[in-house]
Amino acid sequence: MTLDEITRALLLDASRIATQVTDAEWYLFGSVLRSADLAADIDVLVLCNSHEDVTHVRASLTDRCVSLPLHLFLVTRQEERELGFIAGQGCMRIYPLDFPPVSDYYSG
Amino acid sequence: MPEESAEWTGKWAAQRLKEHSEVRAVEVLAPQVLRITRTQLRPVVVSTIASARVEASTVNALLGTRQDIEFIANIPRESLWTGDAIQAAIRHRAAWGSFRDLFSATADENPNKWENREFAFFERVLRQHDRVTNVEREFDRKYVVRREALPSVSVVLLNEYDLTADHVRTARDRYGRFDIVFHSNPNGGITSDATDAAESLGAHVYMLSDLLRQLNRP
Repeated sequence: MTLDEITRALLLDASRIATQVTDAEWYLFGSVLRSADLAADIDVLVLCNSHEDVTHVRASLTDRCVSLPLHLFLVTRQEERELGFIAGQGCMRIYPLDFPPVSDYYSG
Repeated sequence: MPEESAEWTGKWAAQRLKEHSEVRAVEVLAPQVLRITRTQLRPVVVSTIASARVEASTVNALLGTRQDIEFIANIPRESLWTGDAIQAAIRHRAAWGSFRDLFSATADENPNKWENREFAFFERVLRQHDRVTNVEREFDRKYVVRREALPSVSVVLLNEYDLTADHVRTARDRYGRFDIVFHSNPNGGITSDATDAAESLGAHVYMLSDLLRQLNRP
C-alpha cells in the first residue's frame, strides 16, 4: 500500500468515528512516513478529549486493525501535554486538515 | 488452512522481506506461506496470519498441514498470542511472533529456534531472581510469577515507548487481571493517567529495577 492508500483508508475511519467522537485529531508517524511500502507497521496517533473517547476510537478500529497492521497510540489532550509526542516525533496530521496547528495545545 | 481474510499478509510480508540484506528471493508458495531464499544461510519456509487473538487451533491447523513451516508471523500489531498457541508452535518446532520478529529471525541460522529478545531477557531476569520459584506464561505478554514464601504475582510486559492509560486498559481487556505492568522500554515515559489507570485496576507500573525489588515484597 502507498501512503496515499493508507491515508484514504484511515480517513474513512476518522470520518465514520467523528460522528461519535468529536474533535479527535488523527496523525501518522514513524517509518510509514518514510517508506510506506516497507514499514513493518502503521503508527497512528489519535488525539482525543477524554478517555471515554479513546475507548470508543479503539473499539471502532477493531476490524481495521486486522486488515491493516495498525499500531495505535491513543492519547488524551492531557496526556499529550505531558508527553509532547506529536511535536517531538514529527507526526503528520491526516484528519481534520482544516484545524488550528498542534502548537496551540502547548500554549494553553 | 488459514482463513481467507488473512490472504493479504503473505504478499505484504514478502514485499518487505525482499529488502532484508540476508534475503536473495521470496517465493509465495500459497497466499500465507513463503519460501525465503537467503544469501548465506539455508532456505526457510514461513507462514503469515492475521488474527487479533492467536489461538492454538490456528497454529495446529497451520502446522498440521505443513510440517516445513519454521516461523509463524502474526501481522496485525494490535493482537495477542495465547499461551496455548505459543506452546503449540513450540511443540511443532516452530518459532512465533510479529512481522518484526520474523524480519529479525530471517538473519538467524535457525529461524525455528529464534526468540524475541525482550521476552528472553525478561525470562532470564526472573530465572535469576532469588525469590522466584517458577514462571508460567499465560499470554505472549503476561506471566504468572510464583515466589518462595510470598503470593504469586501476574506481570504484563508493555514495550510502548510512552505508556498511556489506553495501553494499560487495553492490556486489561486483552490479558485479564494483573498485579504489575512492567514497562520494558527504558527510553520512554509513563503518563500520570497510565499510573492512575493501573492503580484503579489494582496494579502498579514498574521499570526493571523497581520490579525486581517488588518481587521481594508481599
